Amino acid sequence: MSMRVSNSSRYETAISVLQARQAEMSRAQMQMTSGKRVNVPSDDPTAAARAERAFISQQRITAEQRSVDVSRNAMALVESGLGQAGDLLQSARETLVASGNGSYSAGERKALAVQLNQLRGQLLAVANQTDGGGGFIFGGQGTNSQPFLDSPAGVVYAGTGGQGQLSVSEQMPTSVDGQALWLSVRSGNGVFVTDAAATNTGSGYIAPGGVVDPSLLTGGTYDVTFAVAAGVTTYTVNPTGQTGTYVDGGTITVDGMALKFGGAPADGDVFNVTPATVDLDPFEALDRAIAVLNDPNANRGAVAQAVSNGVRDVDAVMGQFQAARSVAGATLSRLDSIDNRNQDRDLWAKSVQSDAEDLDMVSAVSDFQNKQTSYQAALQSYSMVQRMSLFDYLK
Amino acid sequence: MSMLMQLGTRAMFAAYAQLQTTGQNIANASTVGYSRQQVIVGTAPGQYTGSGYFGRGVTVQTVTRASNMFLTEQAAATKATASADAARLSMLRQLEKVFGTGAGGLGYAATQLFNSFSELAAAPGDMSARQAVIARAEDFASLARSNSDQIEMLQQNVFSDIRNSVADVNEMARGVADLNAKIASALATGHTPNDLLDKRDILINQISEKIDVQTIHANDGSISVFVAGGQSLVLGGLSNKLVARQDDFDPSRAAVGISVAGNVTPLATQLLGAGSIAGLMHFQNSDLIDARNRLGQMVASLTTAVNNQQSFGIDLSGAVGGPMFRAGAPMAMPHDGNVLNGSGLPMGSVSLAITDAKQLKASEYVLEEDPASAGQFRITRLSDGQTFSGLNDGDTVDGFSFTLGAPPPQPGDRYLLKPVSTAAMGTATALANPRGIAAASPLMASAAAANTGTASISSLTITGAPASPYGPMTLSFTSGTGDYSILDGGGAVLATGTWTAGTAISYDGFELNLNGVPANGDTFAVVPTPFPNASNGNALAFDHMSLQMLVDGQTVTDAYAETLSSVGVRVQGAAAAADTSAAVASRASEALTSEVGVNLDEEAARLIQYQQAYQAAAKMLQTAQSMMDTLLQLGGR
Repeated sequence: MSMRVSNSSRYETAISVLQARQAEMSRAQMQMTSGKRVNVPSDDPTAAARAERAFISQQRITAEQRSVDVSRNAMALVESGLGQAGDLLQSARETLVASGNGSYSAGERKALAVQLNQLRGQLLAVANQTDGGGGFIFGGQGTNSQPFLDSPAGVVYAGTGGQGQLSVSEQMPTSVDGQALWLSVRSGNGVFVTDAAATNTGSGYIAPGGVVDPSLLTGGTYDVTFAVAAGVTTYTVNPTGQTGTYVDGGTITVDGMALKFGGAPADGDVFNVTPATVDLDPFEALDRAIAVLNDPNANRGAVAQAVSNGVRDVDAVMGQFQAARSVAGATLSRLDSIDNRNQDRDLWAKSVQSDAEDLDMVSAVSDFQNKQTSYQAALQSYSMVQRMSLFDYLK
Repeated sequence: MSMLMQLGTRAMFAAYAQLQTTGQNIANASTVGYSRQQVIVGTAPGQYTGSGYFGRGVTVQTVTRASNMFLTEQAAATKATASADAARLSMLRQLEKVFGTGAGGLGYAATQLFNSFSELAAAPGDMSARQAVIARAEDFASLARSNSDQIEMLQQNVFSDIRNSVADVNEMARGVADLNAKIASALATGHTPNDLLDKRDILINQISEKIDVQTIHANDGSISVFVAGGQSLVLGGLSNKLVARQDDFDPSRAAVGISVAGNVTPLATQLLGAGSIAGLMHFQNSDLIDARNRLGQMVASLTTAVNNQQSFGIDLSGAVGGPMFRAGAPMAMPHDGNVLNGSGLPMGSVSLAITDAKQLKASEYVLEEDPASAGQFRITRLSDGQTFSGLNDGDTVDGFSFTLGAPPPQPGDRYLLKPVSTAAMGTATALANPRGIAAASPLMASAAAANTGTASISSLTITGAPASPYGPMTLSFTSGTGDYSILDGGGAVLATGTWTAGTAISYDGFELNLNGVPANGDTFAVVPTPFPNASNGNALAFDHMSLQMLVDGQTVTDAYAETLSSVGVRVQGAAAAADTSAAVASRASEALTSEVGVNLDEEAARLIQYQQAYQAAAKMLQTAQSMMDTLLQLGGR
């Protein structure tokens, strides 16, 4: 027996097929309108999760990139600040060298001292430079006020040590440790410090000196005492007990150190050699030179010693700044590479998101046309079938 | 002659009856549940004569309806499955809308919160950056709250849908019982009450839409209807009532019972089989609970982690940070059958506390006496059935601990433990003052300028609250091979240890990491942060939380993405099941209607057939009449 088809089920079937076709078309149309293949997670749960993660990555990268920008801004300020400081120190060095001119009167030296004092003021302003956001580029891990305060005892650091950071995973500094950079330069020539006693009366001075044999260094304290008898200047080194006849511009080698003297020390003049410490700062160095240049009674030896010490200290500070400047430059270039990496990651995340949820328009349009055709066919066949009935033929 | 007249009259009557039934079929061609009717005719017994038996024509015996018990039951059963799947799918589609994607989702809100900390790290003293953190925290809290509200709204909808469905079923069950009585008495007349039978089939089919039934046909023509594997809903002319009741543990959840003679018997969900009630129960007990737990797990993990981190840092005033979020507390709900005290309330009680939010699982648990060890407890994780036996008061399972109340649980008591599922309800920010954000680290470390080694500070993180407020400390290396001492401000040794590259130096809640190699005599100052407004140490730690595995081994955002896809997979699966079962149901109903439904072409053909039969019978009468006339003419001549 062939299968009977009841009229009502024939209509039901036709209607549900038409509805299904219509639903498919409206879904395809919605996808084309939104441009997305995945509009709700159930469209493709795995792709939806992948798109979600990629979307979140982009948000994170945006925030990281902002940190990179903040850090880059700060490091650029540090770099240019150190450049300015270097220029100022160079001017100070030239002024110092000029003030060593023996023919200058006390008044001329005083004018140079004023010049040095101005340079010192400008240097302090550079050290207290802000980052434009309420912080200080040399403020270390934070401060309430300007990090460098000029006190009667010299410039003191009111900030905190260390470096401000903007990330726990990447090195993204926002500031530099001002204490370490500005106030912790190794004094002297880096190994030992030479100086004249304040009571010296001759024109003799001691140069920064140098190391000739590191293995002989003791790290101890020495003094060199001069005696002038019958026009002959001799020296005694304490505690080694070395003695000898002084020659202007000559070098005395003590425990691996080359000590170089100039001028004419008077009888009883003493020069000290002490181990270098890590507490030199440019302000203190300039202050010492300025004090001597301001002193109308300073003798030639004192002036020469002050100039020699001043140039030595300024050079040490400049060396430290140069090194810090190149570190800032290296940081900037690292930030650039983080920047590039962020852009690559952002692009990658965008493409992952797009691959996961975006619609391939070409195939979508062709799919849509297919669906349209099959909907038309369904409509047509329905209208043809429903017209056929035996009753039409019973006349 | 009268014989022929009788034959013709009977034939006309039969043909008329057939035409009438065909007309009824045509009229009801599109009546839902109508079964095609048919006149049963038979030959009347013949009359004996000397020349044999002469037929006495046709008699109308009865009117029957086309029916197929097997197909009727199959149509009902497949419809039950289809409507269970459809009910679950429609709820799941609403649930899917709760969890927004992209910028509408909780993952995005959490990321925005982390990002706001990143901005705060760049300017820790900036009030507008602090205000932004508070705003992002509020965004997260309000989205979590609104997601939770929508989930609870769905829960309420499920309950009221089940209540309405149960009322419908009860109404229809009473209808079936009434029809059973009427049909039984009608059958006593010897004829089938076709319309009543149709009506009863329709009602049973409609009950199946709500709840799967089994039917038994009795000899008197009544049908008894059973649900949930043998509970009688209709027994002959009597019907019982289904009851929509509260879950034994959680009164906000629905359960189904049956009331027989005033006693309510709970119906186990897994026995309900199919039907929209079963679909809703499945949604409630599996899909909705899972979604609620996942949301709660994320919220509990993140808010606990944020609050902990707050307590590790110091705010603008230098005080230890207070909590930033408030989330729903974990709960233990007593079973309805637990031992009661004099005032009718559960006697024993249990409380829960989160011990490690990172370990929390998206599940609920049942706590009961350990059957293997008296006096101890057993906890069953409901998401996967894992059990934890031999537990004592205060023990920890999956990141939470339970504490027995006073009085403790009584013998036989059971509790539903909800460590996370209530977390998202009423999530709120607990911090309104932006000054209270603990962006600063309580400690800062810096290397001494005179150090001769290459070591520098890589990071200083706070991992716990200190025993007492921090004082100034010095980390001093006492050898070239990494031996170190931690000294207090007075130079007294607090701790010693040996540092190796890549490991942190930990003491009293802080962890210090070094880059490079320290030399003998190198020192690092570890001091209380002097300027809380300028320190961003804790803000960075907050920012870093975006990468931390805060939610059971996943980041918050990955956990959210997984939730999205898990709900998506459920919807996808339910949609496929609903498609299939709808197709099966429509095929079954097609098979049934093909057998019992009306085909108009067939009826048209029958119409002609019976019309012709009627015409032939009429012709017969005409012939008889003309024969009679012939006879009468003969007599008149």
